[in-house]
Amino acid sequence: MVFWIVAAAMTAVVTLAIVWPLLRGRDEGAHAAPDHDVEVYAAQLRELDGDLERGTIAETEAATARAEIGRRLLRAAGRAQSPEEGGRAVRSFQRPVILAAAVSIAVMLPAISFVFYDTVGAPSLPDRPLALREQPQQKDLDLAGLVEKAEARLKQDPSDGSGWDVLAPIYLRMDRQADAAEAYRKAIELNGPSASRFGGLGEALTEIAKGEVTEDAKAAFERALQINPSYLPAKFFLALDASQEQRAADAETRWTELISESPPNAPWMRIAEAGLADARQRLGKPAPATASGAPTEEAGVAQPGSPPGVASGGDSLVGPDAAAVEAASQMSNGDRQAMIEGMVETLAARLKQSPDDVEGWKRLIRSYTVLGKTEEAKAALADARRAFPQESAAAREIAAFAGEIGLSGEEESTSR
Amino acid sequence: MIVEIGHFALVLSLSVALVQSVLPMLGARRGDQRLMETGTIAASGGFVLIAIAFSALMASYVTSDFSVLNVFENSNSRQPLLYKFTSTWGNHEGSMLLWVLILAFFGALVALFGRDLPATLKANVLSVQAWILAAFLLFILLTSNPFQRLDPAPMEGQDLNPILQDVGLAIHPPMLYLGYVGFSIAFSFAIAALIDGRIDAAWARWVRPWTLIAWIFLTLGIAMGSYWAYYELGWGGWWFWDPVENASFMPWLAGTALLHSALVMEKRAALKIWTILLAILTFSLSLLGTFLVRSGVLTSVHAFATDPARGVFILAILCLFIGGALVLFALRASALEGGGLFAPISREGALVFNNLFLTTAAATVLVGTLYPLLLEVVAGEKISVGAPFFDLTFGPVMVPLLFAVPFGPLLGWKRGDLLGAAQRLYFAAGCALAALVGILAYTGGTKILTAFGFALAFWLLFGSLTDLFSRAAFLKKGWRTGLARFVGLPRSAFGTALAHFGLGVTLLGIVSVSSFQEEVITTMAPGSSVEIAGYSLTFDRIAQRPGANFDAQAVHFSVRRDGVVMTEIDSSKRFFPVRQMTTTESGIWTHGFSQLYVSLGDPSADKQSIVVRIWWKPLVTLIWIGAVFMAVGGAFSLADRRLRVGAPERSRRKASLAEA
Repeated sequence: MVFWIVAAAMTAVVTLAIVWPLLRGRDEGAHAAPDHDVEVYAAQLRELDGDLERGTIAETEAATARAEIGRRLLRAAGRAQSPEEGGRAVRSFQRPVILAAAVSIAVMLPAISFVFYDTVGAPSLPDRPLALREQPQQKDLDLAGLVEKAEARLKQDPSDGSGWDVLAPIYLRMDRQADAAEAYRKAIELNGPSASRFGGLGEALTEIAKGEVTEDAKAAFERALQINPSYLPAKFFLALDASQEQRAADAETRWTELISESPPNAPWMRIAEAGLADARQRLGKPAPATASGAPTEEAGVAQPGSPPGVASGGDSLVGPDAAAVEAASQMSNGDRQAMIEGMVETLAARLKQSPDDVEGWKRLIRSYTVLGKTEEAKAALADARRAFPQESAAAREIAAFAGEIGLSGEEESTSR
Repeated sequence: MIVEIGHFALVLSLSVALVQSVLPMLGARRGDQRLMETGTIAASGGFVLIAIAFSALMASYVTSDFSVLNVFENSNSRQPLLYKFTSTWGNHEGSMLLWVLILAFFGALVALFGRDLPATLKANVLSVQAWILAAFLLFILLTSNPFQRLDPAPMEGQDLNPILQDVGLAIHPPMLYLGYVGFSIAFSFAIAALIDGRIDAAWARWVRPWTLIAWIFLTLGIAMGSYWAYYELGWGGWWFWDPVENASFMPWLAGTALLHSALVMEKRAALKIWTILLAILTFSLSLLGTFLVRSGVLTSVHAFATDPARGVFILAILCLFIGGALVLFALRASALEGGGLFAPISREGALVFNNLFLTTAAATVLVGTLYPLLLEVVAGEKISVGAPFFDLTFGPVMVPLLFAVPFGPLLGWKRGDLLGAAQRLYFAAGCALAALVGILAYTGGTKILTAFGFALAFWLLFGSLTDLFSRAAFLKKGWRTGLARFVGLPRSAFGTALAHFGLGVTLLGIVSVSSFQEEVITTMAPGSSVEIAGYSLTFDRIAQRPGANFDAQAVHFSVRRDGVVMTEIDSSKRFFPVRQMTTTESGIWTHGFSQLYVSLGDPSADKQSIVVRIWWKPLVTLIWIGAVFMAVGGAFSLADRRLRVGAPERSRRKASLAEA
């Protein structure tokens, strides 16, 4: 509310200031251009004398220059005296015209500003300076302090293996993946190999590669499985790797194995099911019955790059993002749901601002379906349809996509 | 709320610019005082609004408000405070906002200090200025909005590009933009004159201070950028003929030409049409520079983000303004009055000579910059045009120009005495000859080009001072009277002499570094030493030094001459974990005007030794000191009160009306 008051006040002041001079009477005291010319030529004549005195111009040249300037001076003076040239101010606009101009400015200027701002701005979104954001998150602050202390201690004594063991997963959670990878390596070196250390190293490497399971990461996960053949996180990432490299048959076996071994509420379940569905689709098999209604390539809510933001654009189709998965795996079920929903909301907000993104819409619709929010999915579909002209390729793609995931084609004007 | 108020102010400023682009010009056509008046208010109000928007963005940066996408992408809460401020323009969106802020600033200056301008000229200028402003505000709001929001706000930002985390970012872009954008005023004046169909007698005088201000800032901005690249990139070079550098150098060359031709125009009312064209070209080159840097056509440290939509938008702006201006020029130029006559050998003639060479030089740089781009578009071939091309083309154009510089101020207006001027330059010629012989003797006759380079530099240094000394007549009238006369000389004479002297200083630095620089690249370990230019450099120790948002690996060197420790140098590499980037912090020891430059390369596999690059750069600082001289010369010229134009007195106007 305060924002709108301030905005309105700014607009009012600016509009009034511009309209004000229009409301005055005519001002006849202005100088016409020839007056200025006379002044300038007179000044040039005076300077010429100065130049002559300093010797920067010779006597004869000064005489011709004086004649030249003199001629111009006379001409300008003549123009200044003549009524039509000197008195250009006579033909000023009549009062009604000026008033009409004033009124149209008073209407158009605020109108254009508010309409334009409405399309680009986010008036209800409050500022979020760091100082404000940190207060309710005392825990995180303490964590940062603890990490700093631990770092300082490890700098003193880098051979403290248990220190690295503690720090490594925290780094991973704080999105300091490179540090995490280094810490896991140190921990492995000092404390010996373990499934969780190699698994963590693999996760860190995967996150550094923006969700892609690299060769190094794969090697780490395989080591983890050698040590503990039932270490599920490693299995998850190896299955993910198979999906990413489109080894569909391999992916199918791995996902199936993972799903059968995992407890039903495991945080990676949804992605695993989506991965399995995708693999089967590639193999030309029907979607598995266990999948929660999304026979699609991926769960799709996650974006690469660690922050849950809109930072990355349409290139976010590389696969389920390990960072998000990792973060999700550390949370309780409720938290995880909240986080996923937060991401979906961000995506929805972004699409509201820049609806020109087919892949974004598809991702949003798919995400709602995965979350079981059919109503929202339908609403998003309707929004997506509105965002593109009817016969455009984008519109056709959206329609085809809707059919593919089994959303009804009717226009539903559910507004969110 | 602050963010959104800034956002709203930016939108509001666009509507104000739209009003300003129509009303004053309409008023000027009809001679309606009230409509013209709106220009003044709109220009100042628009500036205040954009300043509010800019401050809001800066506030978000300082408070690390990551709910603003731009802040999240380009800063980090752990950055030192200074860089939180400078991050504001260390990215595409923010720097465009700075661009329009400065554009609006210049517009407001014309509005507030242009009281002496004829009302119609001022109104037209403000309207043209508003066209440019509106175009760029639209560009910002539609394709590069710095106020785009993020919800929920991430905990931590992605940090500013580490190369930009330097004091240089606080100085270089604002200066450069003051230069670039300052030329918009000359452009607006030119367009206003063309639209009006007449050039006021004082046109050149009104344009002159603006051109000078822009030129001073551009000179300093380029020099600052060059020094920054020199110490930050760790390659030891000060100019790379990089397309982005060229983009700033072309407006500088054209602007320098404009300064000189405006001089002829204001003094002798000649070269009017040419000056108008130059004013258009100079700003067009500034726009072209903006396009090249901002569109993502070029990849360099300056191309913060590449987005085809932006490129197309800027290209459209570019075509609209440059094309429109040139069409207008073609239509109207013939209607403009010509000016005074002059002989080929005269001050005017010398300034035409200057213009000819400077514009040719600018064209050369333009070709060298655009040709590879065009070739890539047309033929898909990637070539790089670098120093060899410019040495062969730009150099030969500059040599005759530099040789002629001392003659210019010694020639009289309208008809000059070349022989007389040459006679007054005998001292400078003697110094140049001495330098030639001295260098030849010192190098044993092996470096003939170097010797000529030094001779040219000394010719410029002493030749540019000759005018002051001969005008003060120290020899003829004794030094007491001479001193009095010297102090009494017009400031613009000092301006000319200082700027030309600065050119000589820069040239001396360039010639000296390019011929006498010494370089050693070697692997060093603690305790080892290396000899360079008579100094012995010892690798003392290597240490880890954590910074606010980086980890530095610093090497401490001590420099000895004949066993005596002269100084100690720290050179380091900084690692920025957020962006996973490493920057070099060169260790530089300035000794007199020369520098010893140490930069670190990669460590060896066992981390016991490290590659070290060491340069001895004789007189290198003169390159930038020369630019400072030029800028100071410009400031002197700006301070010359003789060239201010007064407004006609009101009483006289009334009297003349009464007579009529």
